[in-house]
Amino acid sequence: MSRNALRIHESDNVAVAIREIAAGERICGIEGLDLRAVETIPRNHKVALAEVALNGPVRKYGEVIGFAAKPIRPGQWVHTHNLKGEGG
Amino acid sequence: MGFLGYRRPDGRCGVRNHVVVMSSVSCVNGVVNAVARALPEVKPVTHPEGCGRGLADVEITQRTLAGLCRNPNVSSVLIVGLGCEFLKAGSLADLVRGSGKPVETLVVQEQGGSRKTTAKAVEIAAAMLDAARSQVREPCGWEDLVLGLECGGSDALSGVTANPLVGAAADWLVGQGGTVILSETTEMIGAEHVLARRASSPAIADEILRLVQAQRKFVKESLGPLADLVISPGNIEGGLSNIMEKSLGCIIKGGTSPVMEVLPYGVAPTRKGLVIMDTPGSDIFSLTGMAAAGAQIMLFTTGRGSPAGFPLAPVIKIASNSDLYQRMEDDMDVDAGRLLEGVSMADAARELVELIGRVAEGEPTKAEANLQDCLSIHTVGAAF
Repeated sequence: MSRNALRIHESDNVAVAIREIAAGERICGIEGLDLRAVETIPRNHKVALAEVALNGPVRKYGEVIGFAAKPIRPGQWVHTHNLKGEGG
Repeated sequence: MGFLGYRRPDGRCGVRNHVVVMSSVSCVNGVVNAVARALPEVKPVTHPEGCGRGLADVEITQRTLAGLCRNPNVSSVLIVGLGCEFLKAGSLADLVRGSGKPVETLVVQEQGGSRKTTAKAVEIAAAMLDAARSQVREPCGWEDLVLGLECGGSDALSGVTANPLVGAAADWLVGQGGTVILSETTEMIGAEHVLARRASSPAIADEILRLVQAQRKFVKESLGPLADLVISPGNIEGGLSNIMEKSLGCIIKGGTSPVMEVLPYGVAPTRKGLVIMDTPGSDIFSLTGMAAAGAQIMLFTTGRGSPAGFPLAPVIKIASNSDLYQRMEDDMDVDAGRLLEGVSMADAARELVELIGRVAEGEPTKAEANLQDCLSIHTVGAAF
């Protein structure tokens, strides 16, 4: 399978879908990861690579970009519906 | 090593040899446009400013317009004024004369109206064009180059492909002794700690934190609960969830060099290396500020597809994804989407550096070929 996602920094717990990933489709292109999308990930959007607890940090570029507004499961779409800024 | 450019009397090097006809006040924009119709080779610079503003904006407008005239891509300048305006053509010209380049002024109320002024302006500008044609390119060093960085109409791939690619070019130029301007203060919000860590001194780290935190406060006061979403609906549709995520993807453009200086809008750097300029995130305001500071070339990344260029400096458009590159090939110079298809960052960066070299020596960018000449001065106060 060709790459469908890209993790920018090795400490990131999300990756960017480089094309739309269907629910149930394997996440390809990240070494050592065995994970399927649990819902549709729109192209260019983020997919969780690991579980994130409520208020847990979401990391991209090796930096914290926000906190989980609700618990996030691996393979879930991460966007404005479940990610909040600055601990608020 | 370096490029062949136009050496100016102040020692700086231009990558273009533009003759500029500029209005000091918006009331005479019609005259400037008439000159540009008669002489398509001149670069008209018009704007909605020059009168009816508070002192802060008069100062910003004056230093920005003067800085644009002093930009080394400009060979000579004709400034058209009205006569009763706040920002006089003569005082603007005085700020440019120190650069040693030819500057002339015409005042419409003294010349007896638009048509007489236009006729005279065409005569003066035609002579300036003749003089510019006889100027030849000379060897210039990369240390003479100032690159302005911009991202606009970003998507989630801007920070994944195009901005890291620009960051690699920025690191290359800093390594060659050149200067790189990272702008867009709003898009540093949430990422200021990363920039402060890279400041060349504790004082500059403080300046970075103060600057970005002041902008954060301003954004919060202006937008209230929407402050986290001070990104366009197109950005959110494109996959960016908040300003922090966008900011981290934005500041990657500056590469990894130490931050040497923090500059107010439109002010020229006094240090080489990576510098930060306080500009809005809005693209055209930011391009204008960096050009006023002397940037001769801009690298502009886009994910959704901005065609914007700048009249006085070539803007290299870098598409974050191959779909965009193919859809808007007439506007895009570089396809950074190839980074997702196996092209290495090192190869892509080398190609971009080669393109910068060719553009520096005269190869037109797509935005130049399309005459996407966009210019806006960032003012801060009310009009009166």
